[in-house]
Amino acid sequence: MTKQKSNTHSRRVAFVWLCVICVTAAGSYFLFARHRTSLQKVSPVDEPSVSTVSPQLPATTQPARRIPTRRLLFCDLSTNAHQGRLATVDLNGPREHELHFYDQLVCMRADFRGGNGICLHMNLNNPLSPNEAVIFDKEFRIKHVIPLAGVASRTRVSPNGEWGAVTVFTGVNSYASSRMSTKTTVIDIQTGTTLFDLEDLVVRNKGVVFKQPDFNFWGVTFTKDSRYFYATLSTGGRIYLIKANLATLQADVICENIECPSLSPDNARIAFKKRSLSGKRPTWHLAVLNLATLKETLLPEPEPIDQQVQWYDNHHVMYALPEFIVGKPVIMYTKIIAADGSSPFKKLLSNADSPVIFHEAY
Amino acid sequence: MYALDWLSRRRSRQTDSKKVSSTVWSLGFTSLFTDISSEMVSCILPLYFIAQLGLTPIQFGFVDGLYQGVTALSRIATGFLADRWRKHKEVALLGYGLSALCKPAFLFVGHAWEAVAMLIALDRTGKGIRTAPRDALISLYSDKDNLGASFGVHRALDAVGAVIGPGAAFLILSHAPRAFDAVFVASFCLAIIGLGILALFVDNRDHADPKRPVVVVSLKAAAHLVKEKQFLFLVIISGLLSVCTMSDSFIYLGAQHQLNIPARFFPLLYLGTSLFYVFFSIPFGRLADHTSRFAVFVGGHVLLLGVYAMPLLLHDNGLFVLLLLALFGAYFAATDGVLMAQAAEVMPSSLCASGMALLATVTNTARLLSSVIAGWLWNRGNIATSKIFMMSLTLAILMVLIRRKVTVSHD
Repeated sequence: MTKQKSNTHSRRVAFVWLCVICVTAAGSYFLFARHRTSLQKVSPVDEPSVSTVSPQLPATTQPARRIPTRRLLFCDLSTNAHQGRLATVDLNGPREHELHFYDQLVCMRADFRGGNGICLHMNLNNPLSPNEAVIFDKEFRIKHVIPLAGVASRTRVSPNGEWGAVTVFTGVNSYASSRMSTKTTVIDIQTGTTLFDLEDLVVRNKGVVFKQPDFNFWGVTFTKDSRYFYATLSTGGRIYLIKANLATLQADVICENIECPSLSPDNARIAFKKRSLSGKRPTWHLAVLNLATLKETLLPEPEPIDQQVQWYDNHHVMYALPEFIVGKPVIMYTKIIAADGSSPFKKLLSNADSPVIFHEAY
Repeated sequence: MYALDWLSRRRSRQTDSKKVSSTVWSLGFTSLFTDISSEMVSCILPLYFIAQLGLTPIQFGFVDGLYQGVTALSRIATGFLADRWRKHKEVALLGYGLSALCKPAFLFVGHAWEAVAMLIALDRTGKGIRTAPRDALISLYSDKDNLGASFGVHRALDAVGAVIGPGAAFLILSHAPRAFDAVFVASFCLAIIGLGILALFVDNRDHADPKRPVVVVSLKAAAHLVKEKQFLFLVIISGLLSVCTMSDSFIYLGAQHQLNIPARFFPLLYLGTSLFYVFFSIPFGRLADHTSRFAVFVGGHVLLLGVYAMPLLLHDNGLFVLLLLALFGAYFAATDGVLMAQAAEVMPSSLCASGMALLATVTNTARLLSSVIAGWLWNRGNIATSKIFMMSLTLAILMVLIRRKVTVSHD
């Protein structure tokens, strides 16, 4: 009996030690991780002028208005508590690579056109319903916050800054769940209200109305007149490119196998991710479709890509891809590549996600 | 005449039921920590894939279903081996350990999503391995009088873990943004604590009740399990009832469609149901001990009829949503643990892990079938079509049970 008692006692002691070790290990790793997230820095890549970076410049001390220059807006993954905060960088201004940070806007995806922007934000203070779309103006002031039904996927603003489109993943509550779908809505930027769900569109395929319960839409891109948009429609395992009229909610199937379209500023080309199947698993690579000739060009980015890319200008495409090196933290690079496939990609910025050209002119 | 006498039998028992064994509490706490650990990871994995690795959910959608077969096979095989070697604890440890090791491994697989799929499959295999021997241990540490209460205690603690997990993950991420590795490490440490409780405070036990029949464990004996009429009856009925059990995501999607709940409140629906599950688990287990376990199990499916019917009849009211979640939580409390308690009673204790593995495999397969049927009907018609189908099938089964009960009592 006493032997059994001492056995129970030693088991309890062993358990207490186990708990101490585990809690200490988890706790110190957490502190290490918190410390580490505050160490990564933004830095331009492949550029000699790295030393001119001034990342500490606070957003409030913006210099007086300059002539509109080409600036890049992106989600900054470099630092501390504001991971994903919006930042802008001058690409060819007098003060090259001067960074501005907007701590109040922390985003997973962002877009900016026509003087207005959308930031897909995860509000961790509300863990039960954390997903929000934040609408902001060119001074980075928050105008509206719209709750979202799922994890952020894509967002676009129309060139006139009046409409926004947001795609979220719904039903992603557990990694074991096989019922995953997307939900795409168009919002009115001025009022911050939802105008319609893409499921409300009347879609025609070769003139015949076409509707299935498994319709899924994602990846909206607006035309330059802001009256139409292109998007991806998936049904029955097939992918369609559709073009829809914002006023009438009528849409037509344009062609197949163009996924996550992104119209070039002159609307002459569409950059998209091209799906290829190796076995049962899909992978995507970056490609460009010329709308006049319907010729597809695969771009020389060797890594698979799964996003809706942005245009740098009428001849270059921008995107962000993570780089994995064993034993090192994952680094997200913003890259640029010629849209005609004539030259390999160049790294533009490190620790920068969701890049978009920021037109100050509006 | 046969098999059904226990359906109608009312147990005359002393009012204060026996205390639940401390080993059952230990197993409950093992599950609590393991569930915090696994829910932490499963709630952030989609985020991790999308935000950090740049994968799409569609890519890991392929994983599901593909490995169901492997999980079922490993469950039955290890259930049998646990009985055969009389090492339920060690087999359960293997299962818990395998799942624990998968957590830090997520850090090293990078964006090779084949490897991610492999890990998820291994994690689920671990779950398949541990469930039957653990439930067998719970039954071996219980008596006829408190089987229901024991399973109630275990399931309540398990559900508490499922409630805490997501909160813990979000807490870490809000203090160290995008530090998914910290979540994986914390999850691993919690899993180790759960494993420690099992290793240190649970021992194997052969036969809790010497009056129960002892069977020599062999493949032949295990195969004879299906000839045990009461056990076979239970397997068939629970299998059939599982065919008319819609998966919870269908229930929530349906409720959302019909009651106009914003989709962003989805996680709240899961949380609410879990809380009611915790709340009802122990009382329902005790109720099952005092009345009839089978009746409580069948009664749970009557509650499910209410869950199906409510959104069809009523609209737009916060109180109804709460009632719906209460009913749904009560359904889980009345069926999950109670079914295993009933199974433990109608089979030889030396074969309980094998029997429970078989029962779990049958009900899981039936639920998979149910999802396919529900999805198909939903796509052809609407959510009401598939609900009405499920309700009619449940009612038909209930009618048959009642008729048989009447016939038997008239014999």
